[in-house]
Amino acid sequence: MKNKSEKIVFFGSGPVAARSLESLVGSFEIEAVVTKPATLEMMQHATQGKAGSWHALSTRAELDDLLSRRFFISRLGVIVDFGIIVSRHVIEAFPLGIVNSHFSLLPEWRGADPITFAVLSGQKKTGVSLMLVDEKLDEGPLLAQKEVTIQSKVTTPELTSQLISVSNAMLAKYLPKYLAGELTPYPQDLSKPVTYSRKLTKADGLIDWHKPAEQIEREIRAYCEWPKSFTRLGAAEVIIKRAEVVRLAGPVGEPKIDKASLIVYCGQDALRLTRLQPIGKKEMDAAAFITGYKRRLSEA
Amino acid sequence: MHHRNIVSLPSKTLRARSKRVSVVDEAVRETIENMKKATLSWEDSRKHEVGVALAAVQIGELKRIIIVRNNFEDKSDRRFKVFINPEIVKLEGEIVEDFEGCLSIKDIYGKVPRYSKVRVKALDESGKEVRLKAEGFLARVFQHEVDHIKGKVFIDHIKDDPEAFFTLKSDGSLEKLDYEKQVRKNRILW
Repeated sequence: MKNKSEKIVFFGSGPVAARSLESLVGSFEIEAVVTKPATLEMMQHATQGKAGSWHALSTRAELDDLLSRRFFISRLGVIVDFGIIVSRHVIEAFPLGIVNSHFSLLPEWRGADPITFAVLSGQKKTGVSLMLVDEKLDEGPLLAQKEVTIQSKVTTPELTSQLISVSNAMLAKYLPKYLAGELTPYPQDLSKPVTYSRKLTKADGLIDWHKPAEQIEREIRAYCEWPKSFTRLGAAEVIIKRAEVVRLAGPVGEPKIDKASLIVYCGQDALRLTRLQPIGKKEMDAAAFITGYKRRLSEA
Repeated sequence: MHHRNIVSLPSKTLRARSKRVSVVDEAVRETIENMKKATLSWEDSRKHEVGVALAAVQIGELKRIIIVRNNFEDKSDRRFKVFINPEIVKLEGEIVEDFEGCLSIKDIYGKVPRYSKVRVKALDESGKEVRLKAEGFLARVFQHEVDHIKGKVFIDHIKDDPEAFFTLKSDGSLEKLDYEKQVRKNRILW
């Protein structure tokens, strides 16, 4: 016996979306990919051309317009890392709705940047939620959730990669069940704290040395890819890539060289900076930085 | 012998009855392997379709063996469950119409009425008896495949229904066929 293969429409733009699409292409027929102009090529590469049609657009209005002009056979849409909030009109175009893979355990860390905020908070666990999109941001009912342990010194990109793997496995497991009518969506558990992440800005990267060392250390890992933690040490502008908390006290924000170690005092405790990247230069360890920038460090 | 070719209408083999398997021996295991390969090889050549199940007669072997895909909605799951000497012990529930296609009937999908629930008795790959209940699409699959064992194909159920015949278009959607022109006197089908 044969059957028509199940089709889905995929919405996504960005490397996380590309990895998700790569995984979906094996299991489903992709009727269409909707992405942004800048990421069109990335998505095409992810499917190796195996998608029915391609649509690049930038705004919510253009998305509405596409779904008005164009009829899709797919009963289900899948949205990952798209950056455009879909309207009810778009959601209703799919009889089974649109499934979003959100990288947190909803209702925790709703919003634009759940992964960075999970690293920033120092929490021990996060996860992935498969959610049926509704017009309101991240409030929709869930198909499934899976918890993931946050390793103690993890950075945002490392955690992201882990969560993508978990997400791909969940999509492969649960989408077929949902398509077959075997899953009932359930509401988010609002007895748990509802927290919101936000879109970070470049300014968030500027290190405020008055904060406790532990918090700054988490920022360094959380902001590792973007916006990056940067500061001025003496006359040198640097991005801090890795640091360790040390129990020392001294004038806040002042760098101190102790043999091959570079320490900066914080609001509470201090940080030993182990990997630094002077702006415009390559990343280096503390010893190399000290050798090259010793003089500049002592300048005001 | 071409293991990977699917027997299609108008081949008379498809209307022959298959024989009970008395011993699950090497020959039976080889048939099962060939059935799996034939189905997947067919599927890999099709843009919009999944090979959901197969009966041994469809590779020219008149043995009562069927294979059923583990996961109908996930093409990347290429596993099958095997049922030897399958019997539908009971047909239950209501009659539901839904689309079916057959690897052996090119380009045709039919809206076929089937029972919504079935009880099945069979032997598994190791020769052990299994009994199961199936509903919905899986129930449809069992009815379709057990038909093959009796030399029946799905179009036999809808022979006189002008509204029941469809074809798969190049975009993956179904289009109704012209019963008078394309179905009623079609020598390939009947």
